[in-house]
Amino acid sequence: MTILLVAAGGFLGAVCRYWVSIFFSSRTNSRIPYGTLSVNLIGSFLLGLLAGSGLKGDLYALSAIGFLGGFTTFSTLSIELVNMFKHKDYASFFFYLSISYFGGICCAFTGMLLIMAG
Amino acid sequence: MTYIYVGVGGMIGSVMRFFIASLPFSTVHSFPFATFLTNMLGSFLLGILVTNSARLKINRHHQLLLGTGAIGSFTTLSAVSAETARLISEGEQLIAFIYIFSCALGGILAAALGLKFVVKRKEETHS
Repeated sequence: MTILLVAAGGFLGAVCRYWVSIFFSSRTNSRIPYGTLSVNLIGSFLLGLLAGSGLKGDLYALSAIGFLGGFTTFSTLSIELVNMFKHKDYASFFFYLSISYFGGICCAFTGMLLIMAG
Repeated sequence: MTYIYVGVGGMIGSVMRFFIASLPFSTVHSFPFATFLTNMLGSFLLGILVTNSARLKINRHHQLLLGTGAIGSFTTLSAVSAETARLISEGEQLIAFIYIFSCALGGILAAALGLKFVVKRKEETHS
């Protein structure tokens, strides 16, 4: 049962990520991949909220493991970073690297603290 | 229609990630090893796919299924962020630092390694 909820959440999460990436690639022409960055920061904030709320069981499997796990991505981020480095675009590389990882932690922390305070 | 490929891939990737997370070594001394392993493996595999999809004539739909869907959902950044935040809040600053540093550096190295990996077609391996 849990595995079906993870699968359903993963389906929706991946489709939403795809939609966000299309939305950004058609509207921005920047060296920073704002589509990937947006899903990762929003997803980190929402996972912070869910983790801080103490949600468990089936609802957590659907929303956190399935949806947010599928919505955010690590592999695309890694490939994009390698490409920036290869093209000697070190400014973008360090900006994107730090905002993804440190920004992600800050977003998750904010979500956790918000739900625990509220 | 393209959404179906991404979604089905997302189902496969998420279930695979869930499976790895349920293995007994998922955390080693509070280090989130399952997420780390998943992300390294996924970055390596996406590198292989990016380098070889044109040569192996993998069409756009299958790229969406495998890359955007399956590998994209298999790997995750939200778990890395939340696990690091949790480690810091539990006073495990050193593990948190080692974790985020090894994820960032490891992901880049795994992706770079995958991008160098040229898969030979059958007819090429005999020539």
